[in-house]
Amino acid sequence: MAKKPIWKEIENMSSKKRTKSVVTHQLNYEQFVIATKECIDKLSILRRDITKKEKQIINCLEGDSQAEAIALILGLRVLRIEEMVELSALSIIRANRFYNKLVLDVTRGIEANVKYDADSIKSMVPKELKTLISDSVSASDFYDILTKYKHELSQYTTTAQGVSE
Amino acid sequence: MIPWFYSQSELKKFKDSGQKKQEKIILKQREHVYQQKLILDEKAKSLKLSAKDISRRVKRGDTHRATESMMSVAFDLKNSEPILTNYVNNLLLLRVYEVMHIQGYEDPSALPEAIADIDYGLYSLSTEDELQDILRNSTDPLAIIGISMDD
Repeated sequence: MAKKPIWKEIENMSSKKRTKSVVTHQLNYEQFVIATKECIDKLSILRRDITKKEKQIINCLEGDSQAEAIALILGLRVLRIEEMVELSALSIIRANRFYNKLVLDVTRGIEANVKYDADSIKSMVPKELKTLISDSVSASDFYDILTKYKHELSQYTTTAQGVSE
Repeated sequence: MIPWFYSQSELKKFKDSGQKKQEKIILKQREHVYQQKLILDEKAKSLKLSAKDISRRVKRGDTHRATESMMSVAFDLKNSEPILTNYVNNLLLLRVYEVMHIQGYEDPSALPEAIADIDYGLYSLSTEDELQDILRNSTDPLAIIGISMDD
């Protein structure tokens, strides 16, 4: 069954129910604001650690220590995984935060006699909400540098190859 | 369509649990994630030791022993794959549990239609295979520059 549009649901509420809904959504909104901040803090730490690890790998490669670079690459991979998971969690938190804000804004609008429809609700959704997960990998200088050492690094990925003299 | 991740039985079970039970599940899941991260840290340490061994032996011209150490690096890298897969699955589960535990949480499928087409990253995928592909192509620096572990 199709969901009832959000503005219709709010319009049909009794005044008492609407007041109660505002209190609930305000509290929920605040919880998701806190969760967003925590998520962003985690992501900043992860980003800092990723940059640090990438620099260490580049230093190893440029200092002719390819084996050490390979060893550090596993650590970098774990950090990138953690960043992707955190970005994904952030998208759910943001959607929930926005949802509660939307209910609060629409309720306020309805009380001020604003008329809503599907298009006006859609126009209230920020574009950023739909384009959160970006591929930051392809644009990174780190991978350009790593590519220069592709031949040397590939020696460490097969168990059947020996050291080239 | 409900994404693959949200169709897992663990999530349904979590949703149906009370606050206290949810907290217990989260603590248990944190422990799983911590243990798996520990194994990955140990693997990284072991790789570092083998790497230093290679450098030392190459400098001394001891190519046979260097090759042995190199093989050990390759084995360790390959053996890390299943642990990484488990780690990411458990970390995804932990983070979604933590988010679901926030007061007022709504499932993406329950949100208004206007915000239905949001990209939830790893939580938006349709299958577990898709997750493995993304992980390999977006998080493995070697795969990104075109080095395959299976060559």
